[in-house]
Amino acid sequence: MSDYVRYRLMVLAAVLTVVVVPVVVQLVRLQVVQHTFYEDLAKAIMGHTETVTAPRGRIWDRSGHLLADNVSRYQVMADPDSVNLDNVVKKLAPKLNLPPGDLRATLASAPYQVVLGTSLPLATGRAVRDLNLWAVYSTPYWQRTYPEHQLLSQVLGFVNAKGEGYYGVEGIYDSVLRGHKKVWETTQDAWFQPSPFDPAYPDSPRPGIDLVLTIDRTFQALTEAELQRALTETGAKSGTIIVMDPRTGAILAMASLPSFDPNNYLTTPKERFVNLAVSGTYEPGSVFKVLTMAAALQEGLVTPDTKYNDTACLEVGGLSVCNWDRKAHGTTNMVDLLAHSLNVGAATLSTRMGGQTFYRHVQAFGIGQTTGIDLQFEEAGNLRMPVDLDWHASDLGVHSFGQGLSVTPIQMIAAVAAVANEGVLMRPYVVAQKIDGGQVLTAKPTPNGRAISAQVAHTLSGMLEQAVERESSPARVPGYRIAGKTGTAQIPIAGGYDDPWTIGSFVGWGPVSDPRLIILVKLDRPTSSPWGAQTASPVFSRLASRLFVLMGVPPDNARAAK
Amino acid sequence: MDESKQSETHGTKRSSWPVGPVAARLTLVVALLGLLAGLFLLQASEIAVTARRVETLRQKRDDLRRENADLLDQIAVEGNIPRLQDRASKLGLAPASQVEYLPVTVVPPDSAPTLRGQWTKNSEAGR
Repeated sequence: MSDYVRYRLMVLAAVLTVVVVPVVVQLVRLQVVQHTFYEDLAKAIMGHTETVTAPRGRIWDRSGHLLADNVSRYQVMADPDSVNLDNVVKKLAPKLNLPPGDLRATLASAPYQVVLGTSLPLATGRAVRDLNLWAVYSTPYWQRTYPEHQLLSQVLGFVNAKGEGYYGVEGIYDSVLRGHKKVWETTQDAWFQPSPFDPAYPDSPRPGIDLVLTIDRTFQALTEAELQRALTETGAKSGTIIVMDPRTGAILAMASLPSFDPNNYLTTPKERFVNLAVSGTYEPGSVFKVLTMAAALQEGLVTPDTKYNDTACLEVGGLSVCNWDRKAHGTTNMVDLLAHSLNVGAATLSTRMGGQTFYRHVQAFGIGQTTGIDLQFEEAGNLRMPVDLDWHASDLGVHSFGQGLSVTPIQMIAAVAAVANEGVLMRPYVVAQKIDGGQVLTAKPTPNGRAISAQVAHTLSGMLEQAVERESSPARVPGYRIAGKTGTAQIPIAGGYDDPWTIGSFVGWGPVSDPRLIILVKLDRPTSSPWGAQTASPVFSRLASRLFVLMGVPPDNARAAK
Repeated sequence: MDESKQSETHGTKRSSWPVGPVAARLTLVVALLGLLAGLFLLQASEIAVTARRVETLRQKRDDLRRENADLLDQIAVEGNIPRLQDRASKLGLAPASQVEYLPVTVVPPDSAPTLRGQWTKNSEAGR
C-alpha cells in the first residue's frame, strides 16, 4: 500500500471519526445512558391523554325506524396565548360564521383556552381542522339526536352533554346504551398531532348496545295525534294514552301531553320530562270497579245475574257513599252495576267481601306496587290497607270505586289487561330486543302472577262487553266487540278535592274474542264535560278503530267468515 | 539496529505513522458504526412515515364512520313522521274514512286452477 493511499485512508478515517463518532456517542447518550431522563422529560412536555369514546347505542322502533341516533359534532377551541391572532381571525371567522371583531375580542380577552364554537356540524369541524392553524383545535364528539323530535319523547328520555341518560329508556338502560371508553396515553408533536412513535392507536372501543322497542312509531304518531285532538276538543290540561298488547304486556304506544323535544331538553321545563304514564299518580275512579267485580266473582260472591237493592247512598264506616247521579236504581244486577257505574253497588260488594279478602285481590292485580316496566321513575301509587295506621273503615267503601287510593296509568292498564288475558297479570315492557353486535337478545313476556281464574276473566269480559253495549257507550267501535269501563274521578288536593275538576278515563280492549290491544285513555281537567264517558270514551273508539286497521285486525264478522 | 535501518532490511519503506492495517480497520469500524447509525435513522424514519400513514388512514376511517352516522341520521330525519305526513297530504292522500273488508275464499294452492298450471302445461307441450 502506497503512502498516498495510506494517507487518504487516514484522512477518511479522521473525517468519519469526527463526523460519525459524535453522532454515535450522542445517540448512545440520549437513547441508552439518559434514556429514562429524556423519556420522562418528553412525556412531561408532550404527554397527552386522549379518551376515545364509542357512540351510544341506537334506539329503534319495532319496525326498524330510528328513534334515537348519534351524529358527529365538533368543538373548536383555541389557546389565546399561542395563536397568531391576525391569521386566526382572518381564516377562522368565516368558517365559524362569527364576526371577525367578536372573534378577535374573544381571543384577546380570554386568559386560558377558550371555546369558540360547539355543536358544530361535521363540515364546519373538518374545515377548521383542515386549516391547520397553530393552537386551534377542532375536536369531534358524538351528540345524541332524536330524528322524530317530540314523538315518544317521554318514553325515550334524553341524554345530557356528558352523555348521561335521563328519564325513560335512556335513563333506565343508560349503562347498556352507553358506549365504552378507552384512554390512550400518547405524546403529541409540535403540531399537536399524535407522535408517530407511539404505541398503536387502540382498537375502537365497543359502541353501546342497540335497543329495539315494542313500540311502533306509526301507532305512536296516531296515538299522540288522537291525544292532541282530545285535549283540543275537551279542553283538558293534559292527558295520557297507553296502548298495550294484553297477551304479552308489550307496550305498543305510550303518549302523554304536553311533551317535549329531547333535542332541546335544555330549554324544556323539567316537569315535561316526567312520563305521566308511569310516574303520574291519580285516583282512578270507576275504572277500579272492574277489579272490585273481579274479586267478587272470584270469591263466588256474585254471578252476572246476582241482584242487589241499589239505594242512592250507603253508609260505610260512618261515611255516606253515594251514586254519581244520587239516584236509587233499585233491584240491579251486576252487569247493570257496571253499565251504570254504581258506587253503591261497588261498595256493597267490597263490604260483603270484607277488607282482608278485598285487599288481597286488589294486591293480586298489582295495585300498590310498581309493575316493573323498564322505564325510569315508575311510581307505586298509594293503597292504604287495614294494617296501616291511616286506614279508616270507610276506605273499604270508597276504595271499591277507585277513590281514596292512587294508581299510575300503567298500573291500571296492566291490572285490567289481566282480565283480557285470561286472568294472568303481565309485566309491561317497552324494550323488545337488545342488539350487541351480531348477538340479539329478545325479551320474553313475563307474567307477574295470576290475578283471577281464566273462567272469571271470561265472565267479566262478557259483563264489560255488555256494559259497553247497554250504555250505548261512545267507546264502541263499529264492527268489533269491545269490553271496557269508564271512570270519572275527583282530583285530591290538601284538605279535600279540587272541585269542579275531574279526571275522565276509559280502559277497554278488543276484539273481545281475541284481544289484540288494550287502551287506556286519561284526560285531566277537561272543560267540555266532567265525565269520562263523554270525554275519554270517544277517544278510545277513534283510536281503536284506526289501530285495528293498522294492525290488520278485521272486524268480527269478517273474522268469523274466515 | 536503529529503527530506520530495521525498516530498510524488510525491503519496504514504512511511514513514520502507524497506519496500514490499523487505519483500514479503524475506517471499517467507523464505517460500520456509521452504517448502523444510518440504518437506525432509516428505520426510524420509515416507522415515522408508516405511522403517519396509519394515522392518516385511521383518521379517514373515523371520518367515514362519522359521515355514515350523519347520513343515517339524515335519512331518519327525512323519513320522520311529520315529513311523511306532509308529503302524503301534498300527494292528496288522507286517512281512510271508511274501511271495508272483503271476505276472500282462499282455495288451497294444490287444487286451485292457476296460471302457473297452464304455463307448465304449455311448457311441457312445447318440449
